[in-house]
Amino acid sequence: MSSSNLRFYIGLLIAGALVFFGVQALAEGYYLLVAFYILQYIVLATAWNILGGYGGYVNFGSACFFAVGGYSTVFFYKLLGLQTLKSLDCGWFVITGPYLSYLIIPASVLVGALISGLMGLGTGYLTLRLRGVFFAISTLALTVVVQTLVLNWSYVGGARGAYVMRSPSVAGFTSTNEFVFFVMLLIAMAALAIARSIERRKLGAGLEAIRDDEDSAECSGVPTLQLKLQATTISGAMMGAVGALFPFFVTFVDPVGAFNLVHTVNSIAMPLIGGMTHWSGPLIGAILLGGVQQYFGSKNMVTPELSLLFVGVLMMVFVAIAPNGILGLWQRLRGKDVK
Amino acid sequence: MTAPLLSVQGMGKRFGGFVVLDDINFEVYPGERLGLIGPNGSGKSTTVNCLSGVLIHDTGQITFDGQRLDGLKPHERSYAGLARSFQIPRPFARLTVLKNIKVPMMFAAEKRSGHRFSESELDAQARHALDQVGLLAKAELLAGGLTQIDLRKLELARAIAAQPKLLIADESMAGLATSETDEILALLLQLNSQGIAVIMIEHIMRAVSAFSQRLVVLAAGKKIADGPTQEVLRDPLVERIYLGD
Repeated sequence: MSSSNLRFYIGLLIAGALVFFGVQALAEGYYLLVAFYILQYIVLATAWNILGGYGGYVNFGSACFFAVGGYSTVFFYKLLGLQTLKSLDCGWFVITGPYLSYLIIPASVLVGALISGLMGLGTGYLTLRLRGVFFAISTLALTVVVQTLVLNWSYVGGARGAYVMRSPSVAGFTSTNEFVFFVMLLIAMAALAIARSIERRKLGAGLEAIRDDEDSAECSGVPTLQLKLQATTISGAMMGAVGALFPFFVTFVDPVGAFNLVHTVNSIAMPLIGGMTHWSGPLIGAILLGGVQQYFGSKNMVTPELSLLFVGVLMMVFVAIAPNGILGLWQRLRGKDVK
Repeated sequence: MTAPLLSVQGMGKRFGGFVVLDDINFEVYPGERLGLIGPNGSGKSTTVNCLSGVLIHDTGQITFDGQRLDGLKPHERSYAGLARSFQIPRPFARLTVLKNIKVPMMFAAEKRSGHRFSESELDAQARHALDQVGLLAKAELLAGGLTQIDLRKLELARAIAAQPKLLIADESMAGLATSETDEILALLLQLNSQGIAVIMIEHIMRAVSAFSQRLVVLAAGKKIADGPTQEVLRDPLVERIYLGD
């Protein structure tokens, strides 16, 4: 392992530990909630940035991938009868109540990631021959189509929504929410590691070339469709993973919440504000924007609609004065061009 | 006799009812310098786009190094050893000049050679390619900030970074001053001396006649001449098309 990789992974582990134990030390549910939402947006923004930031393909379907992850949890919970499961007999050992979440929650996350990843691959195959605004509109259409399907699918609750009854306690954690938060932290750390790894590999270089000039990239040997499909699959899987975890945190999912425009707008705004050319851009954007939204939300100073308006205005400001985000501004101040 | 590196037989292309290329036939031999000329609208750029796979030709067949190219995507053609530069430079503007060179190396050259470059090999070879075209000092600059002549050089450097057998240089000198034209000309001759066959598409006749061993002339989508440079330039039909009756 190279020294820069070693530094990154050690830093990531230390930061992860600080976040987890810091939130635990504050011993107040509110901070756990705030940290959970910020971590959720770190993943969504990082996932969006893989296709949008590196590849230049603007995806308006973040909420759809997120919701598909959430509804995959609802679907399999019901299908496998997990609502009432008290223990699981595996033949040579039995998993009892406090340990069930160790199996169910990570498995749901993996299933949600798999389904959303496959959806990313499928929709990518159908839509990635489109470019620019046409691709963006097709992802918006995807959200509308899937939301309509879910609204009319009574098995997963339809318009009423569905509850996910989780285990009341998890061994080794003070609450189930703390365990769910821990899993979210692991997903966020994995998302950052994946984004950084993509950036440093052939996939990242190819996507950057596609963003700047797709025909030119093709003529330079970049298999553009293949790389874009890889990006949509990875990006979709990441969004699906956090979506699958969401019902365990809030215990209820409905189409209005899951397909909410806020998920889409935030996952675009955060990389835009932080900077889209580096893995740390979405991280910075999610911490700043997510933090501000949570702060004002907690003080009842703004309604969700006003918050969305604020994000929209902020996006316009950044597009106009700092198109390369905070990272770009920082690099400009240091006299360096943005990569 | 040596087998041709590129063989174009009966190539045709139409946009709706407008025939852009009609039954185009020509060959390029390994290490050859071919000039492809013709007045505006004669179909030169469409020929380049059909050869590189940016456009799909409607009729005929293209064979390169013994392999049929019909239906292959541009990146697959670059794996076969065919590289092109664009008439209007199309750099990866937000990447550094160095990374612009690394992209074709990472994809086309690696695939062609079957050898995976280490980071240090990639860096050294990309810098070598930049050195060849005189852009090494600008390696860390963003490509979008380069001057027109440097962009032309970058186009060529990016094409040669793919380690091609055939380079199609599409009007690499358009809009350049005389001294700059000479620079690009010297560069193309240097690349050819390394064994790379070159098709030069150009309007600047001084450069074309100095560079080309053979000329193919297009007019209104048809091939009207194909032969040794001086012979073709003396052809009355070519004279008439270029200079008028």
